[in-house]
Amino acid sequence: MSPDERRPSGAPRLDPAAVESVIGRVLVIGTYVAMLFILIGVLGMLVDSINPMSHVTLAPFDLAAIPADILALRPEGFLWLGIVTVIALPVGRVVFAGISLLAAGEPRLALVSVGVLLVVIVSIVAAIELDS
Amino acid sequence: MIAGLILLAGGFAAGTFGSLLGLGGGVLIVPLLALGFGVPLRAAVAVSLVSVIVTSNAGAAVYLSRHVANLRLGMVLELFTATGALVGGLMAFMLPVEVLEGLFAILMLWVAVSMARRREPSERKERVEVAANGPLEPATEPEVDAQVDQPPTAPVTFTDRLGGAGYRIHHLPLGMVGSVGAGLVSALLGVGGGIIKVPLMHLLLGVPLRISTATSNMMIGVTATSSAVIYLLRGEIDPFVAGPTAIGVFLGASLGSRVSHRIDVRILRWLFVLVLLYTAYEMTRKALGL
Repeated sequence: MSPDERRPSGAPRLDPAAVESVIGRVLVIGTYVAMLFILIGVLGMLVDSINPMSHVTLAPFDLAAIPADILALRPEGFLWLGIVTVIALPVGRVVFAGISLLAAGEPRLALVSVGVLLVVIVSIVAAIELDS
Repeated sequence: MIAGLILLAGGFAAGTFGSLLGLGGGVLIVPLLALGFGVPLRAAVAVSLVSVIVTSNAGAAVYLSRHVANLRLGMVLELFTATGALVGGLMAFMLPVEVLEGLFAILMLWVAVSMARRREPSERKERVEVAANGPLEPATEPEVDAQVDQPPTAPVTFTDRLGGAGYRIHHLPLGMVGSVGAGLVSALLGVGGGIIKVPLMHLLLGVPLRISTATSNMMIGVTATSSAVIYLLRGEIDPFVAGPTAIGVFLGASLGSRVSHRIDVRILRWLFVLVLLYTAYEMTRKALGL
């Protein structure tokens, strides 16, 4: 590593290409894990003969109930875990990229990732407020 | 049991054809669920958003590993697409369903016209592909436009640092405004929004086409997440509909991206133009209560 690739403190700069590779690998693994959870849930609903076309919300979303549903081998537990994993992956990517960019000496881009996270948090708060 | 398998098959078909035609899955999933299976439109949009995030995650993984997507530019524009998606996600619960159906009919018409005007592969190099959720496997490595500006020898501004090898970013503020619009459309209609983002980045910001497509694909996950959490917490996601559909779309998009270079999609494309026009007609009928 050349001297100009080092920060004044002497710590090596993060290679952006390496960061992208790591994010890519995490997304691949995360996607397959999420698909596995959903697949188990789909197989469970086929075994339990659950009709998805009933247009009645059979399993409303309750984050706290997911572990109990999974332990009881209820398909909705696996389906919700898979869906939450799917939705959480892009947020995880933003967090990881933000930390990596900060470590790479890019504070403004790291701040952008904080902004994206704030928007997601506002979405969650707004949804809860609207619901109540 | 049969209904679950039908949903899975429907998602598989939407994923495969969406990938073959360079369309986002959302454009096909929402009408499939709403018109084909009688799922309420908001619930169909919610399920579509989950499927769109699945394909974006898988696609982004490939694009980032191959260093095709512009992570820096994508992160900046994501801030604005996510903001648009937040507003759109809230608006979706305030607008009457008929208005959403009307907006979806307009989107279908727009996509049909874009597909009909698309040139054949040999002559379309200069044209913007309507690649929304994108393939999971990019067919080739990114092309760098010969006519784009050369990068400055030493990046000095924030905008300069968002460019890549062989190109600079132009009109970033306009790109930010357009990104808000893309996020709004994504959240209201359950699509990826690539139909806006890809031309925006390519034509306005000066990003090479393949990098625009890859970056748009990467951004879709965050964009759709901002509105998906609203649909999730407001109880619009039915896991028993979303599960089989997401699995089907994931498998279909994977297959489509692997066989796309071996299939002549010209006839398929024209067939889909007809399907899209018919879907637009049906959505318009529902919107007008006819």
